[in-house]
Amino acid sequence: MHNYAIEIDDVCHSYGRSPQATTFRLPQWHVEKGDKVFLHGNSGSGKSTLLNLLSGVLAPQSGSIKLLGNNTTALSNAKRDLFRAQHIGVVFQTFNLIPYLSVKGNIELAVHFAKGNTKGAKADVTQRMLSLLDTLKLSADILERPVKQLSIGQQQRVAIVRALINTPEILLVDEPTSALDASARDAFMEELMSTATASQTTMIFVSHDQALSAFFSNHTDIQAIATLSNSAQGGA
Amino acid sequence: MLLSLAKQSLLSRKKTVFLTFMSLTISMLVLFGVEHIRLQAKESFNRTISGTDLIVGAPSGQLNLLLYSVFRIGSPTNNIKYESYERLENHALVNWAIPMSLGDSHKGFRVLGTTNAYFEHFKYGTKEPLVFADGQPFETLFNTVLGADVARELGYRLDDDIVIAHGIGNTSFQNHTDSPFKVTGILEPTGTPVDKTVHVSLEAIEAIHLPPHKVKALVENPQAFPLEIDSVTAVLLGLKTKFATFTLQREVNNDPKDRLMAVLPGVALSELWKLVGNVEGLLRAIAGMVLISALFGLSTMLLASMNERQTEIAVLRILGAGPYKIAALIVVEALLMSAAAMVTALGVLSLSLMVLKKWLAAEFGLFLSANVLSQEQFVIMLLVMTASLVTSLIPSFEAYKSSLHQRLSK
Repeated sequence: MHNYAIEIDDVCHSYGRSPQATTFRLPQWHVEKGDKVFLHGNSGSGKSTLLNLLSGVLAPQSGSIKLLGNNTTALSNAKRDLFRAQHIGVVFQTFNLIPYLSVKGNIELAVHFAKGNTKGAKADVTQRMLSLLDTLKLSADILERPVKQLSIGQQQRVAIVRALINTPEILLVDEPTSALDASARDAFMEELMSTATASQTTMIFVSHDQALSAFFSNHTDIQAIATLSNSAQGGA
Repeated sequence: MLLSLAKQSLLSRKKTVFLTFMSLTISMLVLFGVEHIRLQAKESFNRTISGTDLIVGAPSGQLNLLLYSVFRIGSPTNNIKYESYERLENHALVNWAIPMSLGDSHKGFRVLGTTNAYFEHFKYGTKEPLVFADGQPFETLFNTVLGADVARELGYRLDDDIVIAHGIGNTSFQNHTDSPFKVTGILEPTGTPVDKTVHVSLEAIEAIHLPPHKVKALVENPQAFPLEIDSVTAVLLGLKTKFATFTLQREVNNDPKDRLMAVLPGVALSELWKLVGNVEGLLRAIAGMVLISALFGLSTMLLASMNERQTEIAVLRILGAGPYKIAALIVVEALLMSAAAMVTALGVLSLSLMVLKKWLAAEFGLFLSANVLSQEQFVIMLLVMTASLVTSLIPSFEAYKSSLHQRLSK
């Protein structure tokens, strides 16, 4: 048996129940543990649907999604939420952080929701927080600052710290550099890659910016593995 | 964690939260204020008279007799014959009798003509007797005993000479300077209308109604000529045994020599509560509706914030917060606001009562305590929190729904 981080089998998800609803189909896809996948494709090709399904925010109507050997589609909603908190880190395009909390508050929130995670006591969390900040070239005094005072670049780095604080096995990243300028983008990418490599995290990096593909060895075109169609036409 | 998150989230929306908080506070102030005044007014009335078994006066409404004779409010009743008082005092069933003669005033304070039996037998609150702060009961014709408020507000001391005139009201046309009274006693505060009463003897009441030259003669020599007392307003009776109350009441009501009516203070008071019950109910209903509207305001505020909080909800979702947790966050926010408003409202109420206490007592005869926490208030506090919980379910359900459908990116 092969040790995959992600195994998708015959997944089908429709938005809504009407015959005109858009349907996402993905027959087969797997990702090796520790792999870093550059997932590209035009907008509207189903990239964010796939991310929603992987994170467990969406549950597919049929098919199975196995993450780290666990069939998450068979889990209850609450268990899937907990699985996400403990095993999956997510970095969005923008708005990764809760604006009214401090940097520390945001990171601690991630720890709080992953409760039951035996990976660390409080001292470990602080230790990990500091070492992640250090890797991402953020100073420790940023912790007490309100998120609102940070630049976009800093916010995105804090988002990575937040996403990795529970040492997740899988990291989902969605266009994190779209709000950054070119130099900030490259610095950010290098830090992201090195941090993820150091922690041997499996990473799915979604972007339509081909310039970023150079950072990855595994390139996957979403259109090659999945179809997003209007079922009225697709089903006929 | 949820609590601190809710707190931080509310603090991040200071303006809308503050305005909603104000409307909640004001509405709770109305609710708790109405309730407190209602309870306290009742208590203040109930404590005014105690230990009196029957009030005897001329036939009118039993409520009117009670209000006029004990609370010094309402319209004057007819007088009864002085002989009737004497007969009652000597009645076999009667332990003590206090005659009361009303109808005059001194600088806005009522003048009560009575005997020293009043200081001996009149009780208020939980059967507390009247206590002299200074001096003693009256001994001669032109002596007077003042209630605590009268002495304090008019600045009278023991042995001061004051003028008591005929009629009610601040300025009287028959206000003549030739009936001087000496203050022989000042009573301790009681928190009842006694504090606002000027007490003189029954004879003195007769004296101030005499023509000026006769008053002058009396001032020079109190024994100049005998004073005939022919009527009193009411008589308070204490019986030897409570079981005789109804027997004596029937006997008094059927008296062949005078037209009399005897009422039980408790029964008359309960008639009063029945009467004000409707107004009370109306006030409570209005206060309740004001609060409900404020709670809907809270609900609306939370609901309206839902749009701007989509990203916040998305972040919470991705961190592993389930839809129930997000719904709970909204409920906690609502309850936090309600609780804060409640504490503020009770604080403001207590503080304003402390400040307004004297004025309320002087102006309305309402003796209110500044301690706003009573068992009844706790029930209302509980009801308020329950109502907050119920109304917060509306935005909370909306948060639940939107977090169910929340996507990672837009």
